[in-house]
Amino acid sequence: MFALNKVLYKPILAMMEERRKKTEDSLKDAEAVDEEVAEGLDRYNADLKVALVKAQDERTVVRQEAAKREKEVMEKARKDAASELVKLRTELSASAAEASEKLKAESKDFSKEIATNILGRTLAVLIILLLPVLIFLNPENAFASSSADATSRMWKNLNFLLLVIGIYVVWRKWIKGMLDGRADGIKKALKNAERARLEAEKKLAEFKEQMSGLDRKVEEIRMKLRAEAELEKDKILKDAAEQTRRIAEQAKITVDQEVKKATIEIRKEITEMAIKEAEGILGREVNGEDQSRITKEYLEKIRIN
Amino acid sequence: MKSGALARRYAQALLEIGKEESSAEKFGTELRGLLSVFSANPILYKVLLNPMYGLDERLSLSGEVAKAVGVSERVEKFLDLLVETRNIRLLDAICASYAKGEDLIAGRVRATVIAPEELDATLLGDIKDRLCKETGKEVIVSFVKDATLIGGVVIKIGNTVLDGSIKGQLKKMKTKLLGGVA
Repeated sequence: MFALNKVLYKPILAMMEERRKKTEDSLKDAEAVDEEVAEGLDRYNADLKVALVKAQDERTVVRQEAAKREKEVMEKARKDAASELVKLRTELSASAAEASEKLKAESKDFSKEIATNILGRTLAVLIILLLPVLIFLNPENAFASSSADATSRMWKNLNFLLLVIGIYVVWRKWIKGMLDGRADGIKKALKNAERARLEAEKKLAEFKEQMSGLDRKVEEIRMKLRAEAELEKDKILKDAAEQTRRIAEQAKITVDQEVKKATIEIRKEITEMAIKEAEGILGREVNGEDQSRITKEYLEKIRIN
Repeated sequence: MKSGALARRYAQALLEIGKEESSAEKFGTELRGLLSVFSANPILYKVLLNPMYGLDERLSLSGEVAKAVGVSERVEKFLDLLVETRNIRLLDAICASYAKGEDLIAGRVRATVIAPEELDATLLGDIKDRLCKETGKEVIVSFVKDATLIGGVVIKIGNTVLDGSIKGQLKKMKTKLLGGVA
């Protein structure tokens, strides 16, 4: 019993415990990866919201048209980012489920294999190995009857022992090979579980990198939109200033024209009034002598050709 | 062709014939006689241009006018031509153009002196002498009264208008005061 415990039970149990532990660790690692990814997604959503709110606050200072345009672009970016996020989330979920299923399937297979190949065969070996020991450990049962019977039993037991020893000698290599094979199988299974865990971590790293890329992309879009909004704002303000200048200039021109027009009207009115008054005075004052004098003076000035 | 140009061509044609026959002045006098009759009786234009009357009837009427004025055969035929071609309406313009032609041939110009009141003969003579001196031609002066001129004279000679009236001076002054704004 001591020998079996040393040679068979403890190694097998230790091996099983190690395998179980490693398998559980791998599963725990996979769950941790899922949680980390979920947290990353939440963090990403939060960052995205913050970016959007910040962009909205910045855009409130520009005019409606610029704000509308920026909002459209931001909406598109947000939708693109959201759809991309959903896609990534779906892919990740599928990958996690696949890995989990694979590990579960492998775990079941391992269990079946262990139960079938190791425990089933071990029982037969134990029976074979334990029988002589039990016989030797119970001499009262073996040598309890008469001496003839005892002699007969002794020979039988001896024969049986020899048979067991023979069987052991013959099967020893095979049993050892079988046990070594199972150990290799378990190691392989554990190696596969470890590889799966590493793959999950690798996927997590890739996902993080992707998430980081998305953040940069969102930031780039936000910065680009802000720059465009600022340019548009400058342009709007410049146009407004130009328009204001033109309006002021036009107003000044209009005022000048109105002043000029009023001045002309007044001048015209006064001039016409003065001329009309002069006509009246001259009409009353001009006499024959004046007529003759004026005519003669004009004749002196006449130049033809 | 415009009526002015057409009138000039008719006048020029008659004048050329008159020059050839040394009857240019006579033709001119006869044309002015006809014009005075037509001016006194504008209905003559209407009748002579009315297609309701036959050509013979219209020519008969114009012939009676010619006889009444006592024009030569050339001028009577000229009048018939105007009736036939329905250009009798140009008679006034033809007379004016013919007179210019006569003046050109004779080396004289016509001037119209406009004043607000009658000018004495001495002053008119001074004006005529001055115009003759300036143009170097004989000047035939006619007078027209226009009280709106207030004082001074306006002399029209050929296409030139010499404004020495008080009205004209006031107008110039008004233009100057308004700085070109009328």
